[in-house]
This record gives sequence, C-alpha cells and structure tokens, in this order.
Amino acid sequence: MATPWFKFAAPSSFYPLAGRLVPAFAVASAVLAAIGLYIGFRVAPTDAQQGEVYRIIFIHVPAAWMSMFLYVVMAAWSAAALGFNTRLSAMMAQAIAPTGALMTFVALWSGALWGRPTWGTYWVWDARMTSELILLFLFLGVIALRQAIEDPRRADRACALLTLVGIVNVPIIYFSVRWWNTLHQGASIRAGGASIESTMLTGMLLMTLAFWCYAIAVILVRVRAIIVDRERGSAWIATQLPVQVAS
Amino acid sequence: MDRHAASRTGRIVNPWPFIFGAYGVTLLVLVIEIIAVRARHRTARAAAASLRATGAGASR
Repeated sequence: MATPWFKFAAPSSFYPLAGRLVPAFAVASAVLAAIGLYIGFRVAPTDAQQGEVYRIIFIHVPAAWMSMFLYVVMAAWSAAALGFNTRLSAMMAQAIAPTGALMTFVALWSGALWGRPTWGTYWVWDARMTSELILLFLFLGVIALRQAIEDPRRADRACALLTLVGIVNVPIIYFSVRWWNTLHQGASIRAGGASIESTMLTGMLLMTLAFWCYAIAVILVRVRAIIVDRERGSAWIATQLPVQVAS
Repeated sequence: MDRHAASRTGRIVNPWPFIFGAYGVTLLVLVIEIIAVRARHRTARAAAASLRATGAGASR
C-alpha cells in the first residue's frame, strides 16, 4: 500500500503530478477568495467596537495562520530530509520558505495597519508581534543560509537543522497571548467555539482556505522549478522539456 | 467616516486607507510572487533545455 507514496517521493514522478495539481489549486484559491471577500465586505456586519477597520481580519488572520502552518510543514519536510535523506523532501522545504516569509510579512503588515486605528500605534514590542517578527527572520535566515552554501546537499542539511531549531518559536507565537499579558487580543477561535459572529467567521475561514490553496499552488510551481534546476543532468528531465525545433 | 475607530488622541480615524493599504500591499506581493515563481520555472526549463541541446545533459 505504501508503494504509491514512495513512487511520488521521486522527483521524476512528482514533477508531472505537481504540474497537474497547480491549476486546480489556483482556481480554487481564486474562487474561495472571491466568495470570502464578498462575505467579508458585503455580508459580514460592521463590528460594534472597531467599526469597519476590523475587515483587515480577512487577510490578517489567514496570513498569520499560514505563516505558522507553513513553518511547521517546512520543519516536517526538513525532518524527513534529514531522517530519510530524500531529495524531494529538501526541495519541498526549500520551496516553502519564500511563501512562508511572504505570509509572515503580510501578517505583520496588515497587523500594523490594523493596530494604528485601534491601538493608536503601528507597532509595539508585544510578545505576539515580536515572536511573529522572529518567525520572519527565521524564514529569511533559512533562505539566506541556502544562498550562502554552494553544495545543495550540504545546504539541505544546514537549512533543515536551522528550521528544526526554529520550530520552538511556533508554540511561543501561538500561546504568547495566553502566557503573557499582551496588547494583542486573544484567540477568536478556541476548542470550545468561536467568539466572533458567524458570517465574520465564515468569511475568515474561506479566506484561510483561499490562502491555503494559493500557498499550495505557488509552492508546487516553485518546487517544479527547483526540481528542474537540481535534476537538469538527469535523463528523465528531457521528457518533461519542450521539444526544441532546430533552426 | 467610521465613527468607531479613534486614534490615541481621541481623533476619529478614517479606516479605509488602512484597509486599502493592507489589502493593496497583500495583493501586490502575492502577484509579484506569482510572476517571480513562474519566471523562475520558465528560466529553469530553458536552462535545462539549453544544457540538453549542447549535449552536456542526460548524463545520468
């Protein structure tokens, strides 16, 4: 039963599969974002305390969730790369880092623009915000480390180790609003249920799914580029390239 | 004008520049990422094709 999974662990099998999956995730992302934004701006009511500015929630929370989720996924691929020495795992981890950094930046940027009208400031050295900023530095650190090491297999190992060390920051981000008295509000969705209005929650969850599909689509395109870069000497890659017409 | 959001000084704040700033920059960076990642894939494929055309590829 495990054979199909191992089959797709080979870059030669994964490359065409990823190519077939990208359009589906791209279309799903666009459709979900359109519905999510419609609900967020046309259906969801104005917030009683914050007014219209709360509508930043429809990108801020999905981006913040994705930043943490992508780091955890990157760490899982890194652990697989270290444990099983599989090429595709390291390539996946490499492909996730830029999108993770971008999601973290969007979370910080949208949070700053939400903070100014509600808190009266763009930034404070609050536990949640500071730990999210450290997450951005971790993503950027992993990208920079890879650029600094010429041998790809050594770069894979070094980046995997840094990623696994940095995973300690994810629970700190998540629990920071409980562990410390912060300016940032607590979680709106807990195990016992959500504390926000149902249409607000629906819009937010749809936007989260849209961000999720977007991230998968972009990461799959990037991993295809990485596969071509790193496997360009392999015989199989020729079957995936456009036929060149002699002039 | 939003009657809810107020700055630290108590002045009423128009929320829409903040909302457009958040959504606009997000859209911009996502579009830039899509363009960059597609360009990278195209470049990688062109480089591999060129390598193959010169006969240096298909060694493994």
